[in-house]
Amino acid sequence: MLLRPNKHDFQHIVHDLGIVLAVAGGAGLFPLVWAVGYREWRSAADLVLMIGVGVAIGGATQAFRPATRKRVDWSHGLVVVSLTWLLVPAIGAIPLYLSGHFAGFHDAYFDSMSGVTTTGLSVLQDLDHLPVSINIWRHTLHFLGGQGIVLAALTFFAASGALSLYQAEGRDERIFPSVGSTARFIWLVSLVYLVAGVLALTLDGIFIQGFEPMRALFHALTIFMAAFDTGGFAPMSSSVAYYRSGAFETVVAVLMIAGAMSFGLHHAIWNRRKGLIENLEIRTILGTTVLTLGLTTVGLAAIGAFSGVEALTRRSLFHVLSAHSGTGFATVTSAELNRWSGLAYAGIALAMALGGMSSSTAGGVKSLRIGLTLRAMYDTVRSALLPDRSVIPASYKQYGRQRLDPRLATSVMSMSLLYVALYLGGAAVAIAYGYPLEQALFESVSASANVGLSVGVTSPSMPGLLQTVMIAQMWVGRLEFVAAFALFGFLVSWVTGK
Amino acid sequence: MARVTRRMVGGGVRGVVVETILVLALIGLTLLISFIALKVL
Repeated sequence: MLLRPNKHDFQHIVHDLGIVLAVAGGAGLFPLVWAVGYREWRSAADLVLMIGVGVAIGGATQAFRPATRKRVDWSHGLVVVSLTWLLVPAIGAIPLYLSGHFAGFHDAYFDSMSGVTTTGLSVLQDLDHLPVSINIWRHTLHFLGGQGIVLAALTFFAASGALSLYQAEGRDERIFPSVGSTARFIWLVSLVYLVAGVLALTLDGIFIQGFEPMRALFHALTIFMAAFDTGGFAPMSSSVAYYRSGAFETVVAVLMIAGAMSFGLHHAIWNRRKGLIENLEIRTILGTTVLTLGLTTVGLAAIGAFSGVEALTRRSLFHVLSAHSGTGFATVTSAELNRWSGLAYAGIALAMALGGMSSSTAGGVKSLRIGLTLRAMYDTVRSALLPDRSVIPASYKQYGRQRLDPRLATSVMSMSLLYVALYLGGAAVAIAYGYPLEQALFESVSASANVGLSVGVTSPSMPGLLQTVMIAQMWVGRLEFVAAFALFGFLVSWVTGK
Repeated sequence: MARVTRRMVGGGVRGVVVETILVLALIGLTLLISFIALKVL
């Protein structure tokens, strides 16, 4: 239970939040360079305005700097993180709204939230004519959210108490003894994939697509940021279908998998660690990938969506990986995706709902929780069937043998149930607006699990309330409930004084 | 410094290679499922 926050609590939270907002505003310098390079002066002015707002807020909050810097506790970290994911999209929405490609600020905020939470759903109008620099900004939002605004802040402003922010953001897997060295490793992994991914995609752009080098680089950078951070925004309205290249899709698939992998697994592979296949999380994600791949492929064959083996393989595998990793890229239109009924629909929806690995940018329930939930259920059934005196060793392998105690089992089951409730709750609202059950559920899962695949519910003409509900789903899904609950508890404690 | 850089680059290359092999294996598996599904259904 949280105690009633006092003046010092507010000072700490406002001060830390200010730093994060300044970092987010400062990230606008990257698209600003593109705006100057492409002579998009109006967009440049919009970006300067956003940078000014972010830095001004960041500067103003330094006035709240606490006299004594006490260690930021767990609840403060959670509150800062939950407010970060609400306020950064508001700052990020400024240039989007001013671009004139959105019906209103609410629509721009929807896209900005979708970007920061690495979802990829969009209500933007006329994407194909969006200025290059604003397109770069949309993808930078993916990068900010995926790499973790908090992680960036603690990398550059590492201060006492940073660990609680780090853990609250959901990246509680400490690969190295210190937060700083872990953060450096995360940046290093990202840098390696940035160089390899952008190089491969740029070469594809130049030699297969026939793009000019700068245009190829623009497409490579935007697709990389959306793929590696499992976001799903694309620079063109037809998403990855625009490129019509098997090689391009293969590179994107590698990047999506890399993005959905935990940094702990990256570290283990980098260091030739043996016996990784025994880990519960890896076994679970391999199993669910094969299961959803089978369902989708057989389902697509059953409805006769594709007559050739090559077309069926490409569409099925790409969309399963896109859904399972929480990316949301598509190589078919929303209307075509909407026609994927039966097993294919179930395969894609299930892949989205299950999600990627923990400590990654993927959303959804996450494989470790799925594996632990199944393991706990199996143990419960086994203990019911065996004689009373039988002792069941409740353990699992995850980088060594771990104990599956009843508290952990209850925790992961509760979290899994919360996700199911979030999926169903959002679907209920869409159904109330008259959308068919299948479409409503698909879109709700896509928003809650931060995926971004759409069957057409998300559009500029969607009802405002439904849009607000989906914003909330993206936010809660990204924070994995805990930080959102902490903010709620903090506000209740403040108001009630208990 | 050079040794550390070499180790890091080696690790990065290993990571990219492992994921590429995984994608190729998944392509093979999907090709097989697609072939059987189109024949049977």
